[in-house]
Amino acid sequence: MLKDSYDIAIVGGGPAGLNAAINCADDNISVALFEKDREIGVPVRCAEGTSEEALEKYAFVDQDAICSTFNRFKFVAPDKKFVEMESNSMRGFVLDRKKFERSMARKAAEKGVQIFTRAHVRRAQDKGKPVVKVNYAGQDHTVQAGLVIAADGIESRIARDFGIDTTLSMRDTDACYQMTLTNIDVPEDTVQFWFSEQIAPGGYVWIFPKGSKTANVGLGINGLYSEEKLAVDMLEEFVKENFPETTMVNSAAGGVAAASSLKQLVNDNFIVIGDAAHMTNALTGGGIASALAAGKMAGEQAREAILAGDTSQSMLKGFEKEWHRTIGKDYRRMYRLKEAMLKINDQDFNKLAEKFENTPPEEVKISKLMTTMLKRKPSLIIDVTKVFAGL
Amino acid sequence: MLKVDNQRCDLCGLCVSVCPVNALEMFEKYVEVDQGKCTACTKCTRICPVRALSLNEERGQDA
Repeated sequence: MLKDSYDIAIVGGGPAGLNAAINCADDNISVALFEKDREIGVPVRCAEGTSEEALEKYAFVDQDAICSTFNRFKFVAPDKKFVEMESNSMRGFVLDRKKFERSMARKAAEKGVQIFTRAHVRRAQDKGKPVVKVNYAGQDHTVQAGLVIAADGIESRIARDFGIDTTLSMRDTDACYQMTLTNIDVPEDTVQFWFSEQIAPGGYVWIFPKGSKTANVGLGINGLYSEEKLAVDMLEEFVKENFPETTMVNSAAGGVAAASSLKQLVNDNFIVIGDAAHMTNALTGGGIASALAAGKMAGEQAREAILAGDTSQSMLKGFEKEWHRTIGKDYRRMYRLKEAMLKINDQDFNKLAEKFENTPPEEVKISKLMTTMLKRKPSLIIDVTKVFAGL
Repeated sequence: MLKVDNQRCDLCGLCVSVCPVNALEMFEKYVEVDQGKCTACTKCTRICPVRALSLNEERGQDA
């Protein structure tokens, strides 16, 4: 039953919104979560890969939701020469996002969160107050809230209600298309990244194995090039050429904010997190770990604010500062590297693969790859050095 | 005038994210265009991964 008012209203039932819900709800705090789609966990517009470290640190992990574990990375150059890297400190999982989010929803429900699906929030602010206008089960409702958390994805409009501009520039947006392919023969412990200006200009192709001869294969094209090259066409071409024996079991268009996270993440009675706040690693396009982390941080902050009876911007700033001091800082560096990568051409990638072709995977380091790749662009070496030196 | 081909549209939301004037809104099963706000800037037609949006020549201001 939808009530007239809640302490906290969360818009969006992805990893960010669900983790915020889990971390703010308890017996004394009422929480409603609104999801526009009819089901939690679908549709999946995601390569589903994330790091083991992040999952353990920020979220509850349902073992059933883990499809495969990887610790090898394969980088394929345009001429098909490749470099392989093995790293146990960079272990990761490919998830079943539907199972993962269902288990999070279960956990949120146990904590007393009320979850509403097919609940489309049109606006979340009225004359400066957090008032949620939601179409739920075909009817318009008005719900009062003490605080609103927007976790409504890349298409977010809620933050704009609170004076935070979430518009992405073309340069900071990647247009993506992904297919889940079966009968694909790829090693389960290896995630692959293929680079080519012809196929994925300004981006790359990813192959994330899910076990049982199934993998997520997708590509992203930077917004500067997405007019000439259509992601869906390029992916079809790539699959036809490289994996002709496979069958597609699912497909989806999607987008990645290849940006640095928004500077302003809070306002009076308001917090924005996840894709809606551009919390994506601009270099890799990964966003699950940061969504979970921001969900946890924001959930804890929201809880503290409600208990203190102070949901002002200055109170909520604690979350903003924590984000920018931790992951936000890492992501600003990743953004600089993405900017550098936009200047790398096919020839550079071919040369790089050639150089590392015979290096054993356990001796290949990301920092070494990056500095070598950018060797002929001396102005960028400083950026890479800064990134890996943590400056 | 901006048109969305609902047969092609996959509801990924990218067009909404790049729209500088808030002229697009995602619903559960379609994207709605506010023609009054749209300035025909072409960002959405260029970013769409499946080319579901198109502009015809009838009207286009401050492109």
